[in-house]
Amino acid sequence: MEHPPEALPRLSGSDGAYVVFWAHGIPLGHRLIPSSALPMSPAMLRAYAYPAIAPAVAHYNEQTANLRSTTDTIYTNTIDTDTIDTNTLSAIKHLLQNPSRLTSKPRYTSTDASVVICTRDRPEHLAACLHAIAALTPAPAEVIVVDNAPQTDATRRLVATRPGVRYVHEPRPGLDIARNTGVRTSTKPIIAFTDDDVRVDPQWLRYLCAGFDAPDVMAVTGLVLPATLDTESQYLFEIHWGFHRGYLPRRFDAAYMKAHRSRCVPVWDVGAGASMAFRRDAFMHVGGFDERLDVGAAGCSGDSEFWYRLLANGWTCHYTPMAVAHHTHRATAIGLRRQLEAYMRGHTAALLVQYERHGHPGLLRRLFVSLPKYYLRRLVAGALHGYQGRYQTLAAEIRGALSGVLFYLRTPAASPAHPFTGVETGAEAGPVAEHPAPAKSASQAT
Amino acid sequence: MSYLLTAIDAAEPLPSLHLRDDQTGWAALIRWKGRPVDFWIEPCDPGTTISARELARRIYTQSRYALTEAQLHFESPPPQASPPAVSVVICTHNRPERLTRCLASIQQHVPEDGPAEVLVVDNAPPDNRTRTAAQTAGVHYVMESRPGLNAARNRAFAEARGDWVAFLDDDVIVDAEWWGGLCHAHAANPDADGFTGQVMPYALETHAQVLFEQRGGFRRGFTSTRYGPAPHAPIYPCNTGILGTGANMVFRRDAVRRIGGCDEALDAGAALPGGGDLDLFYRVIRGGGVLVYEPTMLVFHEHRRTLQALRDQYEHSWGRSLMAYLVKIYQTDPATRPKVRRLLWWWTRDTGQHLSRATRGRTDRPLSFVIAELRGALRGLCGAYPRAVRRANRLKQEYPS
Repeated sequence: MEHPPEALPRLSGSDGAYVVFWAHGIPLGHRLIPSSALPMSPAMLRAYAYPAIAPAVAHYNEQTANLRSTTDTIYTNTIDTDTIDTNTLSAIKHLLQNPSRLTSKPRYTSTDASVVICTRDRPEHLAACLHAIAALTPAPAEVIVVDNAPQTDATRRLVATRPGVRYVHEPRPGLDIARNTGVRTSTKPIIAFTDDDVRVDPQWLRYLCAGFDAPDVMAVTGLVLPATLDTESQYLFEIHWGFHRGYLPRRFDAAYMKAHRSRCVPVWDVGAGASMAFRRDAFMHVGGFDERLDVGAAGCSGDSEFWYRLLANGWTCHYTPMAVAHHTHRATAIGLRRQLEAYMRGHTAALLVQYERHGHPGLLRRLFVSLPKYYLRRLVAGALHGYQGRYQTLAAEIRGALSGVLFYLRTPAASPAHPFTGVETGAEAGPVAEHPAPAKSASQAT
Repeated sequence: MSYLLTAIDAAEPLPSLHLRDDQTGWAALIRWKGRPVDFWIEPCDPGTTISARELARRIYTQSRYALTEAQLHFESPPPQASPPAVSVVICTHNRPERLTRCLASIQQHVPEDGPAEVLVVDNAPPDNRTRTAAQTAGVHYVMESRPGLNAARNRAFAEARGDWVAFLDDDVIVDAEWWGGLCHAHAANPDADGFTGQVMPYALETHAQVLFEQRGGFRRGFTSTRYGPAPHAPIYPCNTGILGTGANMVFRRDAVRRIGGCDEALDAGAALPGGGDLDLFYRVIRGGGVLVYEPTMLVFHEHRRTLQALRDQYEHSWGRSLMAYLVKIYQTDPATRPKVRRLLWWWTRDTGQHLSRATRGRTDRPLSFVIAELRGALRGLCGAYPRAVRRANRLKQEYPS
């Protein structure tokens, strides 16, 4: 937005454009512009941008308290002048030029961070991912690739060609097992995770680290934008599921937990596993990722279960949209169905795991009341739509939700909840502790 | 029952508002340096005073983002372009006082050297009071004896000197932003064949006017939007009501000429009092044209004052004429039939919901209005359009141009 605007051309063979608006490297908002509105002149594209970016622009400007406008007479006859400020794009520039305004005192920088990428037999994805990681400025202290139960040695050979990237082999399949291995392997106070199908922005790690702006912030998550929207499946995923958590930073803390606990705390709003970072202390305080969840086990929600545990123990999670990553969604309908089945499986399993740990009744309420009601409604609506569009995945979702419950009932809670004491010495990769300490209960919170 | 209606410019010192004892709510148009940015309407206890400070807090919580958006507009003003050659046309039938008020607002708010001309089309006049009003205001005047709003509009397309024709109803007054809004929209969308604008209430003095505005009125939001031919939504472009209303619309004369002008079976006076604008929007878009909704192209419309008149509007302008329009496009444009069916299904469901809510007394739309709309819709579906076509053909023979 800070440059002279460009026109948006007519697009052949596509239903519209997903346009993300930026200023000075900060994402401010997006619009889904249907092809019927194209082509579009630069002036009109701006008019389309303004409503989308207004909330973020207002937010960033409120942080620049001393940038008051002389024309700002809006509250001259009130004393509430501290509530509104001028809202200008140039103020964002000011903000970025004075990063101290963004974070009162950056506690961590990229050089305090280990980046962990868990992967399994997808060397071509991983190569592109590592390429983006190599462009991070400033560079991370270390980059660790956890090769999870590989069938081939392609990943090992690929990593060998990348100087400065550590390779760790984790034979036991499971994303959360691999993540725990990554945590144990890493040596730095901040551990950032991304996936092999994600391309991070050069500033990604810098902003993730800056997100740890208070001692109680244990987790920081970032904005995940779609890398492409070439197929209907990718579009459906982005619109109805997606990793997108908006352009305004959010803080999830004990008060948030308390406000939502009677129903179900929507921890999935905290962020996405594709772009998240933790303080090493987090694993000391609440244990590791629950190995019953996520890909290779239940299918998903290992990350959100971990955030839930942090919140339940009184810690804070911070979502910062300035840290940007791009995720390539599944391109095929079958891929999307499989993914959503895994999502719902992981989701219901995670609800039960969370209930097991914390005993919050809202979790069961969601599992046995809200979700069934939601799916009944969607089944009816789907019948009217001939199970097309977003309803084509309905059967897979329901199947996943049911099998998640069964999965939980069948799987013993043998996850390493607390294998992390002593990690700060920089333990090398090795076999996972077989029978770790039991999970810390919620009653110990704060 | 009436509402306090006010305009507040947030860039100016804020007023404090006081509701009279007969005012049961308030509505406010929020502006930033003149630019309309937001609109609130809500019930409130009679006699309430809203202090400037309370107002400031409300503006902050409710309209903060809208104000930010306006500020962004001011920070990068759109490129200046030569204004289009516009004939501002008011089609009127026997309402000289309203016409005079409308012309006065044009004189006040539209620059002298802006439009190419202002033209009054006097439709089937019973006397010469309209002619006198136009002559007093010093604007062009033409008489069209064939009755019907769309007949008058066709006459306007024939008579207009400008490349563009801006239609205003005689019961609107234009805002100071109207002309500038049109010029900006034109500069930003050189390919557009037409523009529609924002329509705000002129008064909320009667129950009927409040009900109309609470229903959503003619407001179409504060975001500029382009509407082109590519079908982007399940019922687009059949739901042309999203574009706006005939009380405030501008067309490129050639574009309308190319699609054969206005359909005189619609917007045909009491016989079929609506649908002409919807049909015109639809045919321009289906013909490959682009229409643009421009929120700053603002006018104020005086809604029907009595409940009876509003009920008639529900029955005839919305129920009957909407269905006549849908029947027309269903019959003439096979390609969009599935969309018309979907739109009808949506309409039925929506009206059903209103009906069930109205029977439980839980709506601001009285039951008699919902029933009136349903009755009108049934009549509209059952031969209203073919009947109107026959009538229009008869009138064309009776009053040859």
